[in-house]
Amino acid sequence: MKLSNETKLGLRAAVATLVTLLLTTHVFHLPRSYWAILTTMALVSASWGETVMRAWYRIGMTIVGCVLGTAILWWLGPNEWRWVILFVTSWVVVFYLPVSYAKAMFGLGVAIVMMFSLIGMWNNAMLLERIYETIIGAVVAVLVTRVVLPQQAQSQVSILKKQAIDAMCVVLQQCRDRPEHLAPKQLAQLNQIMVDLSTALNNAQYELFFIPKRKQGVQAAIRQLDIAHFYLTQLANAWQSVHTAPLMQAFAQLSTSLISHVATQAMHIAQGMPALPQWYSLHAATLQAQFTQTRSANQYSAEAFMLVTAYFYWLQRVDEVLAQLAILSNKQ
Amino acid sequence: MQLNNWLNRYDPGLNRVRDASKSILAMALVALISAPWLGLVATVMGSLSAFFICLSHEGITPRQQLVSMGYAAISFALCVFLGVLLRPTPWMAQGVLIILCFVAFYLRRYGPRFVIAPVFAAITYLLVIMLPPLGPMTLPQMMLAVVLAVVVAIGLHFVVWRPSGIRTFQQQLWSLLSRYQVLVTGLRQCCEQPRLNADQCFALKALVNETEAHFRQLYAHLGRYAYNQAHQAALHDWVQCQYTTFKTLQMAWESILQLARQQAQYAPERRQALIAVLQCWYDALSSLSLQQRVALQELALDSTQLQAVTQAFTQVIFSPDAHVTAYFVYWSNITFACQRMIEKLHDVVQQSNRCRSIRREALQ
Repeated sequence: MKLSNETKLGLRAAVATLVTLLLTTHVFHLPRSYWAILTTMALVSASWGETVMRAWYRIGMTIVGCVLGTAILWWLGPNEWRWVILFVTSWVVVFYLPVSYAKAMFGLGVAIVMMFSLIGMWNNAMLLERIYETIIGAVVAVLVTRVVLPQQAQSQVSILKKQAIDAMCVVLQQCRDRPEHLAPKQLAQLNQIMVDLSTALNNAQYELFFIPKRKQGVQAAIRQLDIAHFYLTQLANAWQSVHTAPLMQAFAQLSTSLISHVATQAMHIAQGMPALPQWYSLHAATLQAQFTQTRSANQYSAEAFMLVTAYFYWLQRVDEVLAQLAILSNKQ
Repeated sequence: MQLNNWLNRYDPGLNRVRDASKSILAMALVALISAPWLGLVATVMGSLSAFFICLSHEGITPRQQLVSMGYAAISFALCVFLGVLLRPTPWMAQGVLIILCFVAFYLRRYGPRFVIAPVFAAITYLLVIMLPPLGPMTLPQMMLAVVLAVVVAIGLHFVVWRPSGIRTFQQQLWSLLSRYQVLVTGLRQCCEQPRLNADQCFALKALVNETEAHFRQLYAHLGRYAYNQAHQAALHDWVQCQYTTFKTLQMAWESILQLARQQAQYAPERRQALIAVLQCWYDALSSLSLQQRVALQELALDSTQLQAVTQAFTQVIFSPDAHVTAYFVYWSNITFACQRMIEKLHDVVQQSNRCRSIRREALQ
């Protein structure tokens, strides 16, 4: 039976909460076990990488926030300023939560100190208690997410990377087969995949924390994809102008050869086949000769040259990037 | 003014400022009202409920937001009721907590409305069963505190500080332009300095990443702001248009950085021409505030600065020893970006107008 992602997430959350509950309430008998349970509930996420990232920030910022909050209390003494600090830091939590987990957790750390101080309970023992309970909750969340029905950001990255190359392949094939018309739909799909890919990559970095070589490899591959993406975006935007440019006729043969090469290259990479040699390395001399010859005819404007140069350069870059991707994929 | 700029840069459309202020205000109001009447624990639970309900307003239209807040309110009331009732029997209370945890995450499959609120409800239940001191006698006070929280949260959200929906989305899109402005300033500084400044490059890279993240959010929430299919398609085109503008800027950035690394070939007059174009972009972006965006038309017509860069490119391409080198293509990229940038900003304005007219039709 194939479980949906939400069912897996729910089961992971339930198991993690159960383990933390048993540890804090029944094994260690901690007086404020809800701190650890809350931490676990807040940290269980869709992928292991995301949980590791959040656990890292949660522990670090709880320590920083609580220590700073305690220092402020010690410096200010028990007065009405605590209300102001409580409201400001609570505001900071909500403001930063959707964009920066670290800053939000820092705010939460200070807010907790102020809240407990206002009900007359905060002391140094509680500071320690808050820190180790957070650590227990975070460790349990990380371990359970790794062991129980694990979902890894790395595998999401691999799937999305393949989808991105497939989408590029479609865009390039369309450039080759129907040069007069480039549908924006395929490009929009590629944009969406690239946006998802950057989120997944962000999470995968934390999974690969202890495997720096692999991490660098994944980062390099995505960087290459990003470059290919922004050149393809430019290409799509300039497509119409390039194909109606009078100068293009002089380069027509080279252009057809290049676009066919890049489309085939993309197909090779998408299907996991070895990369073709780069087009430019085979045709550099011909391209240069064509440029010199056309320029000496002195009948075209700088704008026309610019467009054609850009067109060749962008396609070559995509070709180069795809070839590098193939090498990186083989290494991994 | 500076605070406003800062907020707009980090929180386009001021969505998060509004949410944070509303929830803190709701929490404070509930605490003030209930503290003299309901006792400490009920006051704390009421304040927390108000805080959570204020954040559970998923939806495009006020009606959808009201339904989301209603769901949240019912789940909070249910969790508080269950918590107070089961608290005397710890094993049962803890068993229900585990089930609630599963349900809270499983419900995500039913859409964004069920992402935050169920987790908040489970947290409320956890606090009710674990916070001292509480007995079945406190149930009416707790329920009263939750009702008060619902009234305050809904009142604040719909009466005092009304949701802006599509306007917020539009603001988010327009405020992207202020990010571009910062990016263009960075590019100009890169051109002005004789050497590349590593810190500056790092800051620009961070800004590019932030902008990517901003686009992620925009794409993720696109469907929430559309009135119908046509409107959604138009919004999508608008975001796409902005995205292409951003990608053009990114290409210009990469090419300028690459050129800056080739100090020897970077002639001062070409650099000056580029700085002048960047200034022109900056002015165009500054005029793109919601009120003044018509001014773009006039700025775009002033193309003398663009001619200077094209001229620089002409010198490169028509020089007798010109080869298709990296320097050559970077200049071509920059020239291309210079020519397209203002055009792209025009597209952005046009897409915005298209969205507005489709929305108007949908509302009629």
